[in-house]
Amino acid sequence: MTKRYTKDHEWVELNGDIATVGISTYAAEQLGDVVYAELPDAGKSFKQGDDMAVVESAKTASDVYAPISGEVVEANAEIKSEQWQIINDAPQAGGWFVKLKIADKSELDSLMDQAAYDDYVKGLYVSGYFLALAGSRGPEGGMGDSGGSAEARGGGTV
Amino acid sequence: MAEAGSSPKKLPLDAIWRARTSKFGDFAGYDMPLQFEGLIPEHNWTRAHAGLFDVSHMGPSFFALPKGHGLEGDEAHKKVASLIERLVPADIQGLKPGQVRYTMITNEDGGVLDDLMIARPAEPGAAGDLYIVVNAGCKHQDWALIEEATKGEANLVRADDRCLLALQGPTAHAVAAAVIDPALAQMNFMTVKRYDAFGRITVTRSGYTGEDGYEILVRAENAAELTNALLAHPEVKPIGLGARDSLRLEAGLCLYGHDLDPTTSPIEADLAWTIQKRRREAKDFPGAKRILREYDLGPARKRVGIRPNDRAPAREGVEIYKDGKKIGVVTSGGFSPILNAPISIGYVEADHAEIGTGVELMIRGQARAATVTPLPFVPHQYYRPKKA
Repeated sequence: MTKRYTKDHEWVELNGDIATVGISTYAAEQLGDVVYAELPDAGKSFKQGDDMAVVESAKTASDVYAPISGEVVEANAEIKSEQWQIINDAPQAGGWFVKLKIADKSELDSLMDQAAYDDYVKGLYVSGYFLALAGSRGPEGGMGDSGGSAEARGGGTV
Repeated sequence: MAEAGSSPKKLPLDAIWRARTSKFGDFAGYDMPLQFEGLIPEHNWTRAHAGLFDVSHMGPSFFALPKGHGLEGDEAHKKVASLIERLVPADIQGLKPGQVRYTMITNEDGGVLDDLMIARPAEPGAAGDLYIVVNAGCKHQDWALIEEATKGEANLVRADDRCLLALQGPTAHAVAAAVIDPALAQMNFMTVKRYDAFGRITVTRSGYTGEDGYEILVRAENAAELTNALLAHPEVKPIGLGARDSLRLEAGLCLYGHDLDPTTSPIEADLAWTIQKRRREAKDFPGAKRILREYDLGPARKRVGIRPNDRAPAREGVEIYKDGKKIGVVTSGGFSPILNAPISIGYVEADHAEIGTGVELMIRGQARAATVTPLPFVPHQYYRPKKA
């Protein structure tokens, strides 16, 4: 099976009319250790590009978008039971997020194949890694505009 | 404010960090290392060993009476301290030689323009000098305010062309003693001293992680030698800005621009302890009217710790509710590696600020239960030997 990728670093792999969806190895590496994830329940439907799930590391929260329209037929039980480590260990295999029953596989045509995605990732400005995950809520919220703070402060030692 | 429009400045130690990580980011106008081994391993290393942080983006400076001021000792100190006290509510005149104090620049409305450290040098020859360190994102504003308020009476000399390194963690004292000078292990928390090592360095026993440690101002030409010597010690690993933020959050310390801003008073921020009696009685600092009213009667809102009852982190901007009514907002939040749980700092109406109060956090449109908790989330480990 071949995977196709979005510019927001979701992957999708089609098997008949069932699409398995997750986040790319690149995305998982950029996020760092996952500390929280929220997956939709079976029965929920999404259009391509809708907010579908949330994945958070210590540094940031990222929205995960539906890479293709469809109805959730299964969410990864391991992730649902808070075993988030699988997302870091095997993002493009056992760390999948959901399986979607899809209607229109032509939506896949707008996504990148492996070679195109590899080129795309290479071109991302590495310094922008907080921003590389589209939908990231993190950069300002995470660290702010002052960068740490006054030199030596500490509680109440006066 | 960051110097807008220009590309970020490189740190003097850029090559040392770049050899160890590619994860950099523009921060307050500087291209800063954000992460080395990973945020959580770096965080945990700092809590168990010693982490080395490059915080050269910040604003160290020396503020001094003009040459030939003719004053000595306490007299010189009181004079220079009285000048800076025009801007801050702390008792700076009362600093003993070698003592460091945390304070804020306040505005006429009692809001906070920045938080900063002010130190009185230990050396008698430096009487009439202060060592002041302000936040990176505020340094141009702060220096302009200081110069405007004290024009012709004292000189401000920027020292942000030097390197500022933070060495933090329970073994920082042993590392500092081995690499720099055994005397560093004997310094008390919140004191400053100069050492003739690696050129001439200014060391404060202080930090922003909740751990024991030091912050070291070193000339750029000596900085690589010092940094390499510290990194060669087996207890030391380099730590990025990402873990610096999670460490300060666990320690319950304010991040300017988030937990403090020009509308927040020091009293609301639970920083009343930074305003000493002499200043409260003199009522002579910017914003004294509001700040002292809140000191006496209590503020309308208070900064508190918040622990979500489930696993979902509540980050900056998440609204806080009580019985369906909005009572506050999260100002910084994330994940605590030590507690293995989400933690947040926020402001709530004073009626709901009591420890143990149940509140709701509105995360992505869903109300989630949370509890008001004491700060810090993880106890501070500052070095304060008991007085004999």
